[in-house]
Amino acid sequence: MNRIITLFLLTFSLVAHAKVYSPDNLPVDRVAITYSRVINPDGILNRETISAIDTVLLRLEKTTGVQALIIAITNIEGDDPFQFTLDVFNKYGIGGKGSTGFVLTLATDDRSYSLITGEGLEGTLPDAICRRIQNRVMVPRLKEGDWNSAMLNTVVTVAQYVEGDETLREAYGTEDGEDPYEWLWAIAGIFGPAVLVIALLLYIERRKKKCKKCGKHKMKKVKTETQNLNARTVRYTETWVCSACGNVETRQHTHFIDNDFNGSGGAFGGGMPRMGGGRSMGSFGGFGGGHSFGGGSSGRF
Amino acid sequence: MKRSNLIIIAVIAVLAVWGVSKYNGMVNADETVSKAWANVEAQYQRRADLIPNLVATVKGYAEHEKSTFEAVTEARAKATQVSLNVEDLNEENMQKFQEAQAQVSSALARLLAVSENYPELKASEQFTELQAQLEGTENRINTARTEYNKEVKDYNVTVRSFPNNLIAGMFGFERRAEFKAEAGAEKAPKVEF
Repeated sequence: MNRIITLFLLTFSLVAHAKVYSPDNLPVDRVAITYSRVINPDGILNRETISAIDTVLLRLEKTTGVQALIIAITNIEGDDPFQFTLDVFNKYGIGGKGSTGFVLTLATDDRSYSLITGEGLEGTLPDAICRRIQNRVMVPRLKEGDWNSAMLNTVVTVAQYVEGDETLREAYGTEDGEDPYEWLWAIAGIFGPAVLVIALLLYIERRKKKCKKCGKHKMKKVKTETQNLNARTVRYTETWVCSACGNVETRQHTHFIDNDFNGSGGAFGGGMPRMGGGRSMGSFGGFGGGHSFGGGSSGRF
Repeated sequence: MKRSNLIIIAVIAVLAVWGVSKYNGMVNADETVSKAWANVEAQYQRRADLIPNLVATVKGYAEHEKSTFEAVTEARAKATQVSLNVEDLNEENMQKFQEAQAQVSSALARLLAVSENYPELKASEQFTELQAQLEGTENRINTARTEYNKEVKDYNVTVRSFPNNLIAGMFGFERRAEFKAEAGAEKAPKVEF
Protein backbone atom coordinates (compact mmCIF):
# COMPACT_ATOMS: atom_id res chain seq x y z
CA MET A 1 0.00 0.00 0.00
CA ASN A 2 2.78 2.38 0.93
CA ARG A 3 4.53 1.70 -2.32
CA ILE A 4 1.41 2.52 -4.30
CA ILE A 5 0.97 5.78 -2.46
CA THR A 6 4.61 6.70 -3.00
CA LEU A 7 4.38 5.87 -6.69
CA PHE A 8 1.21 7.91 -7.01
CA LEU A 9 2.73 10.89 -5.23
CA LEU A 10 5.90 10.61 -7.27
CA THR A 11 4.02 10.57 -10.57
CA PHE A 12 1.81 13.40 -9.43
CA SER A 13 4.77 15.53 -8.42
CA LEU A 14 6.50 14.87 -11.73
CA VAL A 15 3.42 15.82 -13.67
CA ALA A 16 2.80 18.83 -11.51
CA HIS A 17 6.37 19.94 -12.07
CA ALA A 18 6.33 19.73 -15.85
CA LYS A 19 5.22 23.20 -16.80
CA VAL A 20 3.12 23.71 -19.89
CA TYR A 21 3.85 26.83 -21.90
CA SER A 22 1.67 28.96 -24.10
CA PRO A 23 2.64 32.20 -25.83
CA ASP A 24 1.06 34.08 -22.94
CA ASN A 25 2.92 32.53 -20.04
CA LEU A 26 6.29 32.10 -21.71
CA PRO A 27 8.71 34.14 -19.60
CA VAL A 28 10.10 36.74 -21.97
CA ASP A 29 11.45 39.67 -20.03
CA ARG A 30 11.93 42.86 -22.04
CA VAL A 31 15.11 43.71 -20.22
CA ALA A 32 16.63 40.23 -20.11
CA ILE A 33 16.04 39.93 -23.84
CA THR A 34 18.67 42.57 -24.50
CA TYR A 35 21.44 40.40 -23.18
CA SER A 36 20.23 36.92 -24.05
CA ARG A 37 17.97 35.63 -26.78
CA VAL A 38 17.59 32.22 -25.18
CA ILE A 39 14.44 31.41 -23.21
CA ASN A 40 15.37 28.50 -20.96
CA PRO A 41 12.97 28.42 -18.01
CA ASP A 42 13.26 24.68 -17.41
CA GLY A 43 17.03 24.62 -17.40
CA ILE A 44 17.23 22.38 -20.42
CA LEU A 45 20.25 24.12 -21.92
CA ASN A 46 23.44 24.72 -19.99
CA ARG A 47 25.17 28.04 -19.55
CA GLU A 48 27.97 27.41 -22.03
CA THR A 49 25.49 26.61 -24.79
CA ILE A 50 23.39 29.67 -24.03
CA SER A 51 26.46 31.85 -24.06
CA ALA A 52 27.67 30.39 -27.35
CA ILE A 53 24.26 30.79 -28.96
CA ASP A 54 24.04 34.41 -27.84
CA THR A 55 27.46 35.15 -29.27
CA VAL A 56 26.41 33.79 -32.67
CA LEU A 57 23.09 35.64 -32.59
CA LEU A 58 24.63 38.93 -31.52
CA ARG A 59 27.06 38.88 -34.39
CA LEU A 60 24.25 37.89 -36.73
CA GLU A 61 22.11 40.79 -35.61
CA LYS A 62 24.92 43.30 -35.96
CA THR A 63 26.00 42.19 -39.41
CA THR A 64 22.68 41.34 -41.04
CA GLY A 65 19.99 42.84 -38.81
CA VAL A 66 18.41 39.42 -38.36
CA GLN A 67 16.86 38.89 -34.92
CA ALA A 68 16.09 35.57 -33.31
CA LEU A 69 14.55 33.93 -30.29
CA ILE A 70 15.56 30.49 -29.09
CA ILE A 71 13.16 28.62 -26.83
CA ALA A 72 13.82 25.39 -24.96
CA ILE A 73 10.94 24.14 -22.84
CA THR A 74 9.43 20.86 -21.72
CA ASN A 75 5.84 21.08 -22.91
CA ILE A 76 3.79 23.24 -25.22
CA GLU A 77 0.16 23.80 -24.39
CA GLY A 78 -1.94 22.07 -27.00
CA ASP A 79 1.10 20.27 -28.34
CA ASP A 80 1.16 22.36 -31.52
CA PRO A 81 4.75 23.56 -31.95
CA PHE A 82 3.97 25.38 -35.19
CA GLN A 83 1.16 27.49 -33.77
CA PHE A 84 3.02 28.16 -30.54
CA THR A 85 6.18 29.36 -32.27
CA LEU A 86 4.22 31.43 -34.80
CA ASP A 87 2.21 33.11 -32.03
CA VAL A 88 5.33 33.88 -30.03
CA PHE A 89 6.95 35.28 -33.15
CA ASN A 90 4.09 37.65 -33.90
CA LYS A 91 3.47 38.51 -30.26
CA TYR A 92 6.97 39.89 -29.74
CA GLY A 93 7.54 41.05 -33.29
CA ILE A 94 10.89 39.37 -33.93
CA GLY A 95 12.89 40.99 -36.67
CA GLY A 96 13.28 44.60 -37.71
CA LYS A 97 11.71 46.65 -40.49
CA GLY A 98 12.05 43.89 -43.02
CA SER A 99 10.66 41.22 -40.70
CA THR A 100 13.93 39.37 -40.91
CA GLY A 101 13.74 37.16 -37.88
CA PHE A 102 13.35 33.56 -36.82
CA VAL A 103 12.20 31.66 -33.77
CA LEU A 104 13.40 28.17 -32.92
CA THR A 105 11.50 26.12 -30.37
CA LEU A 106 12.32 22.79 -28.79
CA ALA A 107 9.84 20.95 -26.55
CA THR A 108 11.72 18.08 -24.91
CA ASP A 109 8.81 16.27 -23.28
CA ASP A 110 6.54 16.68 -26.28
CA ARG A 111 9.48 15.65 -28.48
CA SER A 112 8.68 18.35 -31.00
CA TYR A 113 10.48 21.26 -32.61
CA SER A 114 9.65 24.18 -34.83
CA LEU A 115 11.50 26.82 -36.79
CA ILE A 116 9.45 29.79 -37.93
CA THR A 117 10.86 32.41 -40.31
CA GLY A 118 9.72 35.97 -40.73
CA GLU A 119 8.42 37.48 -43.96
CA GLY A 120 11.79 38.92 -44.81
CA LEU A 121 13.68 35.68 -44.35
CA GLU A 122 11.50 33.54 -46.57
CA GLY A 123 13.87 33.96 -49.48
CA THR A 124 17.01 33.16 -47.53
CA LEU A 125 15.52 30.34 -45.48
CA PRO A 126 12.81 28.69 -47.56
CA ASP A 127 10.82 25.93 -45.91
CA ALA A 128 12.82 23.26 -47.67
CA ILE A 129 16.08 24.57 -46.26
CA CYS A 130 14.59 24.76 -42.77
CA ARG A 131 13.52 21.14 -43.15
CA ARG A 132 16.96 20.21 -44.44
CA ILE A 133 18.73 21.85 -41.51
CA GLN A 134 16.42 20.14 -39.08
CA ASN A 135 16.84 16.72 -40.65
CA ARG A 136 20.58 16.90 -41.04
CA VAL A 137 21.67 18.84 -37.98
CA MET A 138 18.96 18.93 -35.36
CA VAL A 139 17.09 15.63 -35.38
CA PRO A 140 20.06 13.25 -35.11
CA ARG A 141 21.23 15.06 -32.00
CA LEU A 142 17.74 15.30 -30.56
CA LYS A 143 17.33 11.56 -30.93
CA GLU A 144 20.38 11.13 -28.73
CA GLY A 145 18.95 13.51 -26.17
CA ASP A 146 21.77 15.99 -26.69
CA TRP A 147 19.69 19.18 -26.42
CA ASN A 148 22.66 21.51 -26.12
CA SER A 149 24.45 20.28 -29.17
CA ALA A 150 21.24 20.15 -31.22
CA MET A 151 20.27 23.74 -30.48
CA LEU A 152 23.73 25.21 -30.82
CA ASN A 153 24.51 23.51 -34.11
CA THR A 154 21.12 24.37 -35.54
CA VAL A 155 21.57 28.03 -34.66
CA VAL A 156 25.07 28.02 -36.14
CA THR A 157 23.86 26.42 -39.39
CA VAL A 158 20.95 28.81 -39.73
CA ALA A 159 23.32 31.71 -39.10
CA GLN A 160 25.60 30.44 -41.83
CA TYR A 161 22.76 30.44 -44.34
CA VAL A 162 21.73 33.90 -43.29
CA GLU A 163 25.23 35.31 -43.37
CA GLY A 164 25.78 33.79 -46.78
CA ASP A 165 23.03 35.99 -48.14
CA GLU A 166 24.62 39.19 -49.32
CA THR A 167 21.36 41.04 -49.85
CA LEU A 168 20.56 40.95 -46.14
CA ARG A 169 23.91 42.40 -45.29
CA GLU A 170 23.46 45.28 -47.69
CA ALA A 171 19.90 45.95 -46.74
CA TYR A 172 19.96 45.90 -42.99
CA GLY A 173 23.41 45.25 -41.63
CA THR A 174 26.29 47.53 -40.83
CA GLU A 175 29.83 46.77 -41.99
CA ASP A 176 31.52 44.41 -39.55
CA GLY A 177 29.19 45.41 -36.81
CA GLU A 178 30.74 48.82 -36.42
CA ASP A 179 29.00 52.12 -36.21
CA PRO A 180 28.94 53.52 -39.76
CA TYR A 181 29.10 57.03 -38.43
CA GLU A 182 32.12 56.31 -36.30
CA TRP A 183 34.32 58.79 -38.15
CA LEU A 184 31.73 61.48 -37.59
CA TRP A 185 31.69 60.83 -33.86
CA ALA A 186 35.47 60.98 -33.75
CA ILE A 187 35.56 64.38 -35.43
CA ALA A 188 32.70 65.69 -33.34
CA GLY A 189 34.35 64.41 -30.21
CA ILE A 190 37.52 66.33 -30.88
CA PHE A 191 36.19 69.47 -32.45
CA GLY A 192 32.95 69.72 -30.59
CA PRO A 193 34.30 70.68 -27.20
CA ALA A 194 37.00 72.80 -28.83
CA VAL A 195 34.47 74.81 -30.79
CA LEU A 196 32.34 75.28 -27.70
CA VAL A 197 35.23 76.52 -25.61
CA ILE A 198 36.34 78.95 -28.29
CA ALA A 199 32.83 80.29 -28.63
CA LEU A 200 32.61 80.76 -24.88
CA LEU A 201 35.89 82.62 -24.72
CA LEU A 202 34.91 84.91 -27.58
CA TYR A 203 31.66 85.71 -25.81
CA ILE A 204 33.43 86.56 -22.58
CA GLU A 205 35.82 88.87 -24.39
CA ARG A 206 32.94 90.68 -26.04
CA ARG A 207 31.18 91.15 -22.76
CA LYS A 208 34.22 92.88 -21.35
CA LYS A 209 34.07 95.48 -24.09
CA LYS A 210 30.54 96.59 -23.32
CA CYS A 211 30.27 100.17 -22.13
CA LYS A 212 27.99 100.61 -19.15
CA LYS A 213 26.99 104.09 -20.14
CA CYS A 214 26.18 103.91 -23.83
CA GLY A 215 25.77 100.15 -24.29
CA LYS A 216 28.11 99.87 -27.26
CA HIS A 217 30.90 97.27 -27.28
CA LYS A 218 33.66 99.88 -27.66
CA MET A 219 35.57 99.70 -24.39
CA LYS A 220 39.34 99.42 -24.60
CA LYS A 221 41.91 98.79 -21.91
CA VAL A 222 44.28 101.79 -21.68
CA LYS A 223 46.24 101.24 -18.47
CA THR A 224 47.12 98.34 -16.17
CA GLU A 225 48.50 98.74 -12.66
CA THR A 226 49.91 95.79 -10.74
CA GLN A 227 49.82 95.58 -6.99
CA ASN A 228 51.35 92.80 -4.92
CA LEU A 229 49.14 92.43 -1.87
CA ASN A 230 51.21 89.64 -0.37
CA ALA A 231 53.57 86.87 -1.48
CA ARG A 232 50.93 84.88 -3.29
CA THR A 233 48.31 87.43 -4.25
CA VAL A 234 48.42 90.08 -6.93
CA ARG A 235 45.84 92.71 -7.83
CA TYR A 236 45.43 94.18 -11.29
CA THR A 237 43.76 97.57 -11.63
CA GLU A 238 42.71 98.26 -15.20
CA THR A 239 41.46 101.48 -16.72
CA TRP A 240 39.03 101.07 -19.61
CA VAL A 241 37.81 103.86 -21.92
CA CYS A 242 34.90 103.74 -24.29
CA SER A 243 35.81 105.08 -27.75
CA ALA A 244 32.19 105.89 -28.53
CA CYS A 245 31.09 107.99 -25.56
CA GLY A 246 34.31 108.60 -23.63
CA ASN A 247 33.13 106.77 -20.50
CA VAL A 248 35.99 105.81 -18.19
CA GLU A 249 35.85 102.69 -16.03
CA THR A 250 38.13 101.09 -13.50
CA ARG A 251 38.16 97.33 -13.09
CA GLN A 252 39.99 95.31 -10.53
CA HIS A 253 40.69 91.64 -10.19
CA THR A 254 42.75 89.63 -7.80
CA HIS A 255 44.64 86.39 -8.47
CA PHE A 256 46.64 83.75 -6.72
CA ILE A 257 50.04 83.61 -8.34
CA ASP A 258 50.73 79.90 -8.66
CA ASN A 259 47.63 79.17 -10.76
CA ASP A 260 47.43 81.70 -13.54
CA PHE A 261 45.04 79.74 -15.64
CA ASN A 262 42.16 80.13 -13.21
CA GLY A 263 41.65 76.42 -12.85
CA SER A 264 40.67 75.80 -16.41
CA GLY A 265 42.93 72.78 -16.78
CA GLY A 266 40.19 70.30 -17.33
CA ALA A 267 38.50 72.00 -20.25
CA PHE A 268 39.40 69.44 -22.86
CA GLY A 269 39.57 66.42 -20.71
CA GLY A 270 37.19 63.50 -20.39
CA GLY A 271 33.94 62.70 -22.07
CA MET A 272 35.10 61.38 -25.43
CA PRO A 273 32.26 59.50 -27.06
CA ARG A 274 32.56 55.72 -27.21
CA MET A 275 34.10 54.74 -30.51
CA GLY A 276 32.21 51.50 -31.01
CA GLY A 277 34.07 48.97 -33.06
CA GLY A 278 34.23 45.25 -33.23
CA ARG A 279 35.54 44.20 -29.86
CA SER A 280 32.92 45.15 -27.35
CA MET A 281 29.76 44.48 -29.32
CA GLY A 282 27.31 45.69 -26.75
CA SER A 283 23.87 44.22 -26.41
CA PHE A 284 20.94 43.07 -28.51
CA GLY A 285 18.48 45.62 -29.82
CA GLY A 286 14.81 45.61 -28.98
CA PHE A 287 12.54 43.59 -31.24
CA GLY A 288 11.50 45.60 -34.28
CA GLY A 289 7.93 44.50 -34.79
CA GLY A 290 8.47 41.82 -37.39
CA HIS A 291 5.75 39.54 -38.69
CA SER A 292 5.66 35.99 -39.94
CA PHE A 293 3.41 34.36 -42.48
CA GLY A 294 4.07 31.00 -40.92
CA GLY A 295 7.03 29.95 -43.02
CA GLY A 296 9.58 27.45 -41.78
CA SER A 297 9.39 23.86 -40.75
CA SER A 298 8.27 21.83 -37.75
CA GLY A 299 8.43 18.21 -36.74
CA ARG A 300 8.74 15.56 -34.10
CA PHE A 301 11.48 13.24 -33.08
CA MET B 1 -28.44 85.59 -38.22
CA LYS B 2 -31.29 84.02 -36.32
CA ARG B 3 -30.30 81.96 -33.35
CA SER B 4 -32.08 78.87 -34.58
CA ASN B 5 -30.19 79.06 -37.89
CA LEU B 6 -26.91 79.12 -36.04
CA ILE B 7 -27.84 76.06 -34.05
CA ILE B 8 -28.82 74.19 -37.17
CA ILE B 9 -25.51 75.05 -38.82
CA ALA B 10 -23.60 73.92 -35.73
CA VAL B 11 -25.42 70.61 -35.64
CA ILE B 12 -24.75 70.00 -39.32
CA ALA B 13 -21.07 70.80 -38.77
CA VAL B 14 -20.78 68.34 -35.92
CA LEU B 15 -22.49 65.64 -37.95
CA ALA B 16 -20.20 66.30 -40.87
CA VAL B 17 -17.09 65.97 -38.72
CA TRP B 18 -18.38 62.76 -37.18
CA GLY B 19 -19.29 61.44 -40.62
CA VAL B 20 -15.86 62.15 -42.01
CA SER B 21 -14.06 60.43 -39.18
CA LYS B 22 -16.29 57.37 -39.45
CA TYR B 23 -15.82 57.25 -43.19
CA ASN B 24 -12.06 57.39 -42.82
CA GLY B 25 -12.21 54.63 -40.24
CA MET B 26 -14.08 52.47 -42.69
CA VAL B 27 -11.62 53.18 -45.44
CA ASN B 28 -8.87 52.08 -43.11
CA ALA B 29 -10.61 48.86 -42.20
CA ASP B 30 -11.30 48.27 -45.86
CA GLU B 31 -7.65 48.61 -46.76
CA THR B 32 -6.65 46.22 -44.03
CA VAL B 33 -9.06 43.65 -45.40
CA SER B 34 -7.67 44.18 -48.91
CA LYS B 35 -4.19 43.58 -47.68
CA ALA B 36 -5.19 40.45 -45.81
CA TRP B 37 -7.01 39.16 -48.86
CA ALA B 38 -4.03 39.81 -51.09
CA ASN B 39 -1.97 37.75 -48.70
CA VAL B 40 -4.43 34.86 -48.84
CA GLU B 41 -4.36 34.89 -52.61
CA ALA B 42 -0.58 35.04 -52.59
CA GLN B 43 -0.29 31.94 -50.44
CA TYR B 44 -2.78 30.00 -52.58
CA GLN B 45 -0.83 31.09 -55.63
CA ARG B 46 2.33 29.85 -53.98
CA ARG B 47 0.77 26.43 -53.66
CA ALA B 48 -0.36 26.55 -57.26
CA ASP B 49 3.21 27.35 -58.29
CA LEU B 50 4.57 24.33 -56.47
CA ILE B 51 2.28 21.92 -58.26
CA PRO B 52 3.97 21.68 -61.70
CA ASN B 53 7.27 20.89 -60.00
CA LEU B 54 5.62 18.28 -57.81
CA VAL B 55 3.89 16.64 -60.75
CA ALA B 56 7.13 16.53 -62.72
CA THR B 57 9.00 14.94 -59.82
CA VAL B 58 6.39 12.27 -59.20
CA LYS B 59 6.13 11.55 -62.92
CA GLY B 60 9.81 10.73 -62.92
CA TYR B 61 9.12 7.72 -60.72
CA ALA B 62 5.45 6.90 -61.27
CA GLU B 63 4.69 7.54 -64.91
CA HIS B 64 1.62 5.40 -65.07
CA GLU B 65 -0.48 7.28 -62.55
CA LYS B 66 -1.91 9.39 -65.36
CA SER B 67 -5.34 10.04 -63.90
CA THR B 68 -3.86 11.43 -60.71
CA PHE B 69 -1.62 13.84 -62.58
CA GLU B 70 -4.43 15.01 -64.78
CA ALA B 71 -6.71 15.58 -61.82
CA VAL B 72 -4.15 17.77 -60.08
CA THR B 73 -3.23 19.77 -63.15
CA GLU B 74 -6.88 20.33 -64.02
CA ALA B 75 -7.85 21.39 -60.52
CA ARG B 76 -4.95 23.80 -60.47
CA ALA B 77 -5.92 25.36 -63.78
CA LYS B 78 -9.50 25.85 -62.64
CA ALA B 79 -8.47 27.37 -59.33
CA THR B 80 -6.15 29.85 -61.02
CA GLN B 81 -9.08 31.11 -63.06
CA VAL B 82 -11.20 31.83 -60.02
CA SER B 83 -9.39 34.91 -58.90
CA LEU B 84 -11.30 37.37 -56.79
CA ASN B 85 -11.02 41.09 -56.49
CA VAL B 86 -11.45 42.30 -52.99
CA GLU B 87 -14.53 44.27 -54.01
CA ASP B 88 -16.28 41.08 -55.11
CA LEU B 89 -15.91 39.35 -51.79
CA ASN B 90 -19.52 38.42 -51.22
CA GLU B 91 -20.78 35.05 -49.99
CA GLU B 92 -21.37 33.61 -53.43
CA ASN B 93 -17.97 34.41 -54.90
CA MET B 94 -16.21 33.33 -51.76
CA GLN B 95 -17.92 29.99 -51.90
CA LYS B 96 -16.82 29.46 -55.51
CA PHE B 97 -13.28 30.39 -54.60
CA GLN B 98 -13.19 28.03 -51.66
CA GLU B 99 -14.63 25.19 -53.70
CA ALA B 100 -12.04 25.61 -56.42
CA GLN B 101 -9.23 25.54 -53.87
CA ALA B 102 -10.77 22.56 -52.10
CA GLN B 103 -10.57 20.65 -55.36
CA VAL B 104 -6.88 21.42 -55.53
CA SER B 105 -6.46 20.24 -51.95
CA SER B 106 -8.13 16.90 -52.54
CA ALA B 107 -6.34 16.29 -55.84
CA LEU B 108 -3.05 17.04 -54.08
CA ALA B 109 -3.91 14.70 -51.24
CA ARG B 110 -4.55 11.94 -53.74
CA LEU B 111 -1.28 12.58 -55.52
CA LEU B 112 0.63 12.38 -52.27
CA ALA B 113 -1.22 9.23 -51.25
CA VAL B 114 -0.22 7.64 -54.55
CA SER B 115 3.38 8.65 -53.94
CA GLU B 116 3.40 6.51 -50.82
CA ASN B 117 3.56 3.46 -53.07
CA TYR B 118 6.86 4.42 -54.62
CA PRO B 119 9.69 4.07 -52.09
CA GLU B 120 12.33 5.43 -54.45
CA LEU B 121 10.29 8.56 -54.94
CA LYS B 122 9.80 8.99 -51.21
CA ALA B 123 13.52 8.69 -50.65
CA SER B 124 14.52 11.27 -53.24
CA GLU B 125 15.68 14.52 -51.73
CA GLN B 126 13.89 16.51 -54.38
CA PHE B 127 10.59 15.01 -53.31
CA THR B 128 11.16 15.45 -49.58
CA GLU B 129 12.02 19.09 -50.10
CA LEU B 130 8.91 19.60 -52.20
CA GLN B 131 6.94 18.03 -49.40
CA ALA B 132 8.50 20.49 -46.97
CA GLN B 133 7.54 23.35 -49.28
CA LEU B 134 3.99 22.05 -49.57
CA GLU B 135 3.60 21.63 -45.86
CA GLY B 136 4.96 25.10 -45.27
CA THR B 137 2.58 26.50 -47.87
CA GLU B 138 -0.42 24.82 -46.31
CA ASN B 139 0.60 26.31 -42.97
CA ARG B 140 0.87 29.72 -44.56
CA ILE B 141 -2.50 29.36 -46.21
CA ASN B 142 -4.09 28.56 -42.87
CA THR B 143 -2.37 31.44 -41.17
CA ALA B 144 -3.38 33.83 -43.95
CA ARG B 145 -6.99 32.68 -43.77
CA THR B 146 -7.11 33.11 -40.02
CA GLU B 147 -5.71 36.62 -40.26
CA TYR B 148 -8.08 37.48 -43.08
CA ASN B 149 -11.08 36.24 -41.13
CA LYS B 150 -10.05 38.35 -38.18
CA GLU B 151 -9.76 41.51 -40.29
CA VAL B 152 -13.02 40.83 -42.08
CA LYS B 153 -14.82 40.39 -38.78
CA ASP B 154 -13.58 43.76 -37.57
CA TYR B 155 -14.54 45.36 -40.85
CA ASN B 156 -18.00 43.80 -40.85
CA VAL B 157 -18.68 44.92 -37.30
CA THR B 158 -17.59 48.45 -38.17
CA VAL B 159 -19.71 48.62 -41.27
CA ARG B 160 -22.82 47.04 -39.82
CA SER B 161 -23.15 48.69 -36.43
CA PHE B 162 -25.46 51.58 -35.93
CA PRO B 163 -24.96 54.47 -36.64
CA ASN B 164 -21.95 53.60 -38.81
CA ASN B 165 -24.12 51.68 -41.21
CA LEU B 166 -25.71 54.94 -42.34
CA ILE B 167 -22.36 56.21 -43.60
CA ALA B 168 -21.52 52.78 -44.95
CA GLY B 169 -24.75 52.67 -46.90
CA MET B 170 -24.12 56.11 -48.38
CA PHE B 171 -20.67 55.24 -49.63
CA GLY B 172 -21.13 51.65 -50.64
CA PHE B 173 -19.24 49.75 -47.96
CA GLU B 174 -20.68 46.30 -48.05
CA ARG B 175 -20.40 43.30 -45.83
CA ARG B 176 -17.57 40.96 -46.81
CA ALA B 177 -17.46 37.21 -46.67
CA GLU B 178 -15.33 35.12 -44.34
CA PHE B 179 -13.64 31.83 -45.02
CA LYS B 180 -15.78 29.02 -43.78
CA ALA B 181 -14.33 25.81 -42.45
CA GLU B 182 -15.03 23.24 -45.14
CA ALA B 183 -17.30 20.37 -44.22
CA GLY B 184 -15.12 17.37 -43.45
CA ALA B 185 -12.14 19.64 -43.92
CA GLU B 186 -8.78 18.10 -43.41
CA LYS B 187 -5.73 20.12 -42.63
CA ALA B 188 -2.58 19.83 -44.69
CA PRO B 189 -2.37 16.61 -46.67
CA LYS B 190 -0.39 14.35 -44.40
CA VAL B 191 3.20 14.14 -45.47
CA GLU B 192 4.71 11.71 -43.03
CA PHE B 193 6.71 8.68 -43.94
